[in-house]
Amino acid sequence: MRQEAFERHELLVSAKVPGPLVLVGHSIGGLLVRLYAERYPPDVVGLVLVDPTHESSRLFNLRLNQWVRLRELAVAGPVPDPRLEGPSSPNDDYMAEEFQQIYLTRRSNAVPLGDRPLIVLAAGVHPAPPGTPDELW
Amino acid sequence: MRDPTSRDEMPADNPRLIALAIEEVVDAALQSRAVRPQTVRSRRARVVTAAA
Repeated sequence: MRQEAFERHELLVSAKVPGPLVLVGHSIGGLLVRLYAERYPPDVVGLVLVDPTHESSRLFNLRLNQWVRLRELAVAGPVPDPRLEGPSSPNDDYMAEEFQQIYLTRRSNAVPLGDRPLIVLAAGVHPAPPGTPDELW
Repeated sequence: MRDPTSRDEMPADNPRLIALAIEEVVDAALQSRAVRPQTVRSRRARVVTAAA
């Protein structure tokens, strides 16, 4: 996720898209724009989160082939700095560690989003995806 | 009566709702000290989306 935030920032710089920015993140993109705002705070003046994923959410893990609570997968491994070059590999999947990091950061800092306008759009009821038992979802 | 759990009730399926939210956030940012009004009003709105 940090790598994605980094690459998005590099893309905007390369495309000469200056701030100020209002970022809109849907689903897991909600986490991404929160990371972006934390990493590049001067650029971001507002956030809109559309049914955002929280770091404690359950997501389907392709590797484990099951629904998991993301941050509980963390093994306290270090999250490497984003890389500008070089091939990626399956070993680069640090998502759980990053979510754990986000969770711990939020727990120690009650206002991690900063002083900027924020709107969260969320459905009242999230139906379970097809094939997923309600109690697990 | 519409099923409240139906997929078409999800915010992501309502672009008008999202557009209104963006407008609200932009207006709030303009009213803060973080953004100079001429900075935003002189450019097209630029929105970065990050979808699932």
